[in-house]
Amino acid sequence: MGQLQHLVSIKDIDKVTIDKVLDHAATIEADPDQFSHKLDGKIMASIFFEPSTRTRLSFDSAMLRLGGKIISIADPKTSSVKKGESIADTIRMAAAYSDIIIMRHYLEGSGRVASEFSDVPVISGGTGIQEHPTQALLDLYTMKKEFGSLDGLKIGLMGDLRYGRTIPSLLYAFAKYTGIEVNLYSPPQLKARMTVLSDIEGQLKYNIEDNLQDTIDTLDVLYVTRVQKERFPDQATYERLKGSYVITPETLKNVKDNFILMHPLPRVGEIDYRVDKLPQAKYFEQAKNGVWTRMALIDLMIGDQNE
Amino acid sequence: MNSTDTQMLVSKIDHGTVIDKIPAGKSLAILRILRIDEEVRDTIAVAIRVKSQSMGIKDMVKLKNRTLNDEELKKLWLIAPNAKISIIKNYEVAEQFRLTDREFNNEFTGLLVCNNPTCATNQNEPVDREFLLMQRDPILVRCQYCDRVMVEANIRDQL
Repeated sequence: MGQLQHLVSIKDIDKVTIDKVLDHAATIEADPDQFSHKLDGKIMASIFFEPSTRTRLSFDSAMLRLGGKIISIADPKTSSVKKGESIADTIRMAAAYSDIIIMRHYLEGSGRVASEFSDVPVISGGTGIQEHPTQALLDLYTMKKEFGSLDGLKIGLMGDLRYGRTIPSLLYAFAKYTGIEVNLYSPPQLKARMTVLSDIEGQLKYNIEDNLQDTIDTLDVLYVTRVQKERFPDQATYERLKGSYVITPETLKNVKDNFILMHPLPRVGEIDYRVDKLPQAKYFEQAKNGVWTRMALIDLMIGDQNE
Repeated sequence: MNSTDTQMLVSKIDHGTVIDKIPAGKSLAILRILRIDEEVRDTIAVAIRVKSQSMGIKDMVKLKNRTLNDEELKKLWLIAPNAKISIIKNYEVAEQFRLTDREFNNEFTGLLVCNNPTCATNQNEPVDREFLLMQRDPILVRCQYCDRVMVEANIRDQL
């Protein structure tokens, strides 16, 4: 895809490229069968150093739906990684065996290290607390599908904005569009990192908000993330704060007509099960959109675009 | 104490280097960066918290028979960019410059380590650490691998 050799950070790609991925995802979703042999004979290496359900399954599903095959390190504890092999060496080996590599790693900077040592495209499936670029792309795809355009949307991000790795990727992506405004809702301990906010300063309008209930009627999208117990100094603080970050049907009483509720999943109580049946709940569809978006990305990166 | 008093307090040196206009209190960090300890053989004069016309209060270090190499100057530039360096020969100022006027490159490989324990560059990967200078004074540098920003205190401890 020309300028997109690897995808380890949303900062690495421009708006034109993002739109190209989203448009291609829409084309694929409209007629997936047309692409079912697109990557016949191609191999994707799936290397997850951290547990994953949705990201891993949807990448696997994406590659299989494109006709490609998958090799993987199912459990890094049973591979030479356990013996202390570096990311660089693991990736060089994987690059020799495959046409594209998907890697999730708990270390920040691991995505860049992998991309430097790989002869084939590397896509980050999550890099420490740093970024999760493909989650952001599928989130953008979900919003675009609902609203037709991303420009001018008012989006609330709620929960763990400090350690949630999708948050920086989303903010970097929003900053590339026109007129998006973001409300940030989080416990004080879990506010978005200063580095990330300074990166988007002047490019994306954001407001640090205390009260969701007073402002939810202004939002087009509310994107909820998991607030993890281990991020708090003690159980009592966690218990006290977690209730303020739970969405119930009552929370959504005053939302706009076309409002949507998103969550990257898994959730651990942030969204009441009663909300699932409401028309605003889009998180399962969002997860499904992961397949189309990742198919689009893989195809644009290693498929023949002249067919 | 005026500047004449300072001169009386710290006598002239015949050969060596004077580091002047050091922010008050930073001279001890500078001595540590220059590896000046009990093994030192030449005369070192340190003035802490003396009056300065331009700074109000400052530190000053005089190093007899010592010239600073580029790496040492760069380290000082990181924590005291406005310091003034005078190279003394035969009691005369042979060369004088402010560290800010030196064109140091923004290359910190070999000089700095990312202070994020979960940065991949701290895990035995065959990569050269890379930092971006975000702000001069006070200094902010950013790891180009993990995006962690380090402030002066993080940097000073490493020099």
